[in-house]
Amino acid sequence: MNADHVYAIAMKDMKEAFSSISIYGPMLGIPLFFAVVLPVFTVYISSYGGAAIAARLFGTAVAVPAGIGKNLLFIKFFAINILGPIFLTMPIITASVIAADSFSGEKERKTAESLFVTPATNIELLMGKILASLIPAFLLTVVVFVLYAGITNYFTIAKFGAALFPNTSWYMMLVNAPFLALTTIGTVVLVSARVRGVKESQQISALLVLPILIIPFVSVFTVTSLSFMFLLYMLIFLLATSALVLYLSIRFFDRERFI
Amino acid sequence: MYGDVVRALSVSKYFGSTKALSSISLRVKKGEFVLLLGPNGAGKSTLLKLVAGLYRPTSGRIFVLGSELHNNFGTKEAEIRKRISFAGENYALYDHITVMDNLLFFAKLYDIPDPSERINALLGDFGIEDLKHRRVEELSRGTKQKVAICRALLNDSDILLLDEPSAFLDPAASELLRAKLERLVREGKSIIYATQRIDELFNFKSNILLISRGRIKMKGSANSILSSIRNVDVEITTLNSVDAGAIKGNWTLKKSSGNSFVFQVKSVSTIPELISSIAASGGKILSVNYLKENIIEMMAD
Repeated sequence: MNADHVYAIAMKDMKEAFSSISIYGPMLGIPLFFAVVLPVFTVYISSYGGAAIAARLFGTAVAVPAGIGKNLLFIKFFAINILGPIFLTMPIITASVIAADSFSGEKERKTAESLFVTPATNIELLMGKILASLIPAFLLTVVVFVLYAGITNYFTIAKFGAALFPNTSWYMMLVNAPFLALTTIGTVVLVSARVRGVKESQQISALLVLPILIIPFVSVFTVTSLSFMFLLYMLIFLLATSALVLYLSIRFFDRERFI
Repeated sequence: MYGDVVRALSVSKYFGSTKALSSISLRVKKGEFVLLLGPNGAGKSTLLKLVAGLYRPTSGRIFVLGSELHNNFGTKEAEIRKRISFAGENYALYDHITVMDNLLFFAKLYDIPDPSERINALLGDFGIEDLKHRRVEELSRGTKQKVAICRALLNDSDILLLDEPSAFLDPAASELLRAKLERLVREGKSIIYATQRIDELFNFKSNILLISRGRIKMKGSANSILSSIRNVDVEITTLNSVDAGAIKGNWTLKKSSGNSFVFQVKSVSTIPELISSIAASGGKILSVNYLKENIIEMMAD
């Protein structure tokens, strides 16, 4: 494998992605919403209705630690168990936007024919394009995690007497993030060959957020919590899934379908 | 294989149930210029993409520089691909990045060392060096075509596959391209050039393949191809008024409008005689045009 080819393809794709507002717009807008609006919203809600919501969520049987009101309990629960899984959609959304443009975009804009006549091999093409989607998706996720944690801590540290973030669950979610992105990218590669354009590719791959959105619900209904073990099982599952999806995407990569 | 740089053996290509090419055989030697002539949908682009390895034949085999190019190729095929260039009918450049970034990207994939000088020289040849830092999306269609040609010429390949490269070029750029391609052929490069423009028949000293409905209808020189076409419509415009109906010969007057006349000649070789007759009757000829649609329709028959 020629590393220069991989690097050239990855750099070209990233340059393209960040030169088009249709790509970087949603990529930056959604993370900013997650990182800034949601923590402010959480603190605001908790200040005015957190106790009532917490009472509804936990009932009166839940033992509240001494010195911590129900509104604070709500902040903690909401910030970790509800927003946590929502943050896990970040690598999926950003990876799907870039990967769809990278793969289906070549097909839609008919640039694949000039790329595919070059000496770049299938593995080089795929590696370059996967990196071009994975690197920004992961970096954006980290930035959003840091921003979110910083803003939430800023508003709550006085109330809790300690920082809410980072904690083990969030570290584990961060470890899960690249594998979510890889699973998404692999799915985009598989889908791109079979759809006409970027939009279809994005829409289908964005369906991957649905299983993630179930997590807050099962968390609310106390089926599970975002414990270290839960996130470790999730990581093992994602490792296997991303490996399988990437294997299939390479195995069934058919250049002719992109022409 | 037998010294041919390209050899296609009974190649057919179907897209679903649609037949694009039917049992086409082709040989291209080192230093040979092959012109594929045919109307839209004849199969010219499909044939070029098959040779470029972008499509797999449904049946038959294609050898390029002695090897078959598959869809999933390894190092050996990558080496062969370094010796092939392709400029499709779509300019196929990356719109959101600059001309220079586009060309540098392809130069890296072709492992061209220090490509900037070569890129500048090519852009300079086509008079667009000052546009190298502009995004492709800001360029006109003709300029994009020039950049696409520069990209195809970048890697100094042994085989050049060009699909309607002059479609959007101005006359000066077309002439420059013609001169460049002639020089490349003299240097031993092989070129397959697809066009639907009948006026390009005489631009190159080439072997011509007339393609229609996925089949090769005819092979030969420009003269032999043209003289085989019967009942060609020719539009002649004069500066002064002429009694075109009174000019008799191996042709018929189909239409006249002011000083513009459409004659149908039995064969192309009759056209000089028609022109002479009009001139002899006092007509000052301004222009003579084949009616392209008419010729292309005949090709498709």
